[in-house]
Amino acid sequence: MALLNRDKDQSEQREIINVSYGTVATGVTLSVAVFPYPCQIVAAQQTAIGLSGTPIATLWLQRFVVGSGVTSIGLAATLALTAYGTSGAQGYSTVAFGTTTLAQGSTAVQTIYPGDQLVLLTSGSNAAVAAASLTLVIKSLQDIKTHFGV
Amino acid sequence: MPIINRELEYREQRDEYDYSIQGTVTGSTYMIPIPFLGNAVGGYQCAIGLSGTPVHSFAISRFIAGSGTTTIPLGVTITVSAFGTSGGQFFTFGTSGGVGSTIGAGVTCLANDLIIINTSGSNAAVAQCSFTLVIQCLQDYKNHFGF
Repeated sequence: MALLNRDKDQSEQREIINVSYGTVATGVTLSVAVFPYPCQIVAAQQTAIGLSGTPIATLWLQRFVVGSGVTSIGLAATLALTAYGTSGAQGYSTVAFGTTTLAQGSTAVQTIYPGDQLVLLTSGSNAAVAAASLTLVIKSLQDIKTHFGV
Repeated sequence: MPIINRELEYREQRDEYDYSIQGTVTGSTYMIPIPFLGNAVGGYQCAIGLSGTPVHSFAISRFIAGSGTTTIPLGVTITVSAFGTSGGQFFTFGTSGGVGSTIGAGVTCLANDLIIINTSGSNAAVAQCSFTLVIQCLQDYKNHFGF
């Protein structure tokens, strides 16, 4: 009998999405990832080097619904970036993602659907980063995992 | 009984970390965070749109509060070639006794370590470069960044 997602320990149901960026300027919207299955974000970690000014990164979820367009869902996940050489890697608050309050299968915004897109918005006055990376830890909520419905 | 990491065959304990970086230039550093205690086995690199002769070298960057970052060379330096010329380029870590090597091929890295890619070469650049790293989790119960 093959192993299914539900057969696995909670920690084994998690997967990683990594994105590395070169130069990131202020006021840009970066597409981080499109999620392939219903999931929750368990953790998110940001690193940055070569800072200019005080760049701020904010994570949003975008959901496209045919006929009604895009809905942007704030995740209350905002970081004032610091250099890796100063503070090491920075973690976004897990409370922001609702992982401590929402049950598996919740329909609240923190449950992510297939096709949802995570975006990273940058802000700050004359701020920039020479290189950055964002790592997401997500947990599939399906007993039998599918990817984009297949 | 749930399946946990230690019950998996060691090849099944490996995860892939895929990165795509657009417009790498000489003298830059790009980062790949490692979420758990792991064995960096090796990886694969593909590049298109080369200008000059870019060189990529790999190292671990480890941050310790109070003492800052430590850079641990991984002993892998690659002269990048175009995918259309030579295909992708495979590399392994620690086969020549890299720092932290404990179990044969591979290098032990800690959670929150970065595997960094340093670019060098004279007036060199790559239009698009992707990296796939293979990391074996060494924890019995796998967690990510402590979660």
